[in-house]
Amino acid sequence: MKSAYLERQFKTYIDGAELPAVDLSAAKREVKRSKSQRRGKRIAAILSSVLSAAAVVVLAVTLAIGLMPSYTPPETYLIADAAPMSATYTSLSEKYPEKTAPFASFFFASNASSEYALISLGGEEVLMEIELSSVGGGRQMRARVYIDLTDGEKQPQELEEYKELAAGGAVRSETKYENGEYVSRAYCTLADGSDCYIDMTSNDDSSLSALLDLIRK
Amino acid sequence: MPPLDLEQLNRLLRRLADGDADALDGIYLLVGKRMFVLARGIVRNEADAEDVLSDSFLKLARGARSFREGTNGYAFVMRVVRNTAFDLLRKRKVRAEEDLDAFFHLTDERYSPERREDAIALEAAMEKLSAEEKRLIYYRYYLDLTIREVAEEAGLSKSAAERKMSAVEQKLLALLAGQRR
Repeated sequence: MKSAYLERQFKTYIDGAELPAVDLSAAKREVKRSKSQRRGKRIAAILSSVLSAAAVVVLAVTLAIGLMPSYTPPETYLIADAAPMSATYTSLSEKYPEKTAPFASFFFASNASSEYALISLGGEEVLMEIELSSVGGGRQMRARVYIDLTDGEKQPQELEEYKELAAGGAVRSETKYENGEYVSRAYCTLADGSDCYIDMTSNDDSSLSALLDLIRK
Repeated sequence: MPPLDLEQLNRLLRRLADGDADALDGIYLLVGKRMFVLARGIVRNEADAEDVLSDSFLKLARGARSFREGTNGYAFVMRVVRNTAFDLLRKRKVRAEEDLDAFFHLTDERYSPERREDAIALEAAMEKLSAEEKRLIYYRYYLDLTIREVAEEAGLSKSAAERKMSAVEQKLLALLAGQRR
């Protein structure tokens, strides 16, 4: 247990420092925008259970326009709203060589596999999705990796919390033992600076660090 | 002076997660200084620290729903700030690490006159700690990490972290008591 005395000492100490004024208006707008989006989605879900498919489309669009306040396009997006398209390692390694190079071994190894998809939003490729699996040395691993293609300018909302996992320098991760497997989430950056998010399931608790060592060389 | 009101902070985070934008004002008043001091200790200049502070509030606005009820809201907020500061340094291709000394030298010309004497005493005591000891104090009293998290950060076993943390706290308490005599 922490020393209550030291805790008070440090609180008093820090409270004596000056705090600059911070404009919270952008953050407050973000809270209201997120709330409106969630409300719109909830209403659309309720309507879809009682109305025909055609009527739902018309009403959902109308409600979304009515509920969302006018604002400049957000920098965040939902992967669920984006369109995935299958791609091959060969084609992507030509288009995104630095982002695919760390995963080359999964393409060439006989005991591993990789499947690729590109996720687009409004015609722009925003995310690369890679499904990985490998077996060997008693270790089995399945992972889904997302790599940002927008140089950090767009943030997938579903992955934002990965950046807040326990910080260990350049890598943030957490691993839990569930139903006899190690389930991990991680965030890191590749050599070219791209944001990289990982979901992994394995029978071995060293699988995540092995993958991170491989892709961050 | 009572310690940080964790219950109040957790309530504010829950209100924020429920879409109450005004909860941000409460968070700013309650822990804004700690957030700023942490940011400045990592990015090492005031202008960048203010940017980190702004970005951290934006991230809290977006990510408050990921705060799990019953967990430590202060550690959650500090983690957001620390990661935001590290992100800024990485974007600039600067090595991302904390300047420990910055956390224990707050008494500049703008520091509160009423608290200055006690602050100087605390700083003098901290000066007598080794770099490793300062880092343990930083993890426990700035970031509010659990012993297990301190162990992971410091690369120690949990029992070793417990022993070292206890020894550092006893040493610091003795130094502060010695100054009061």
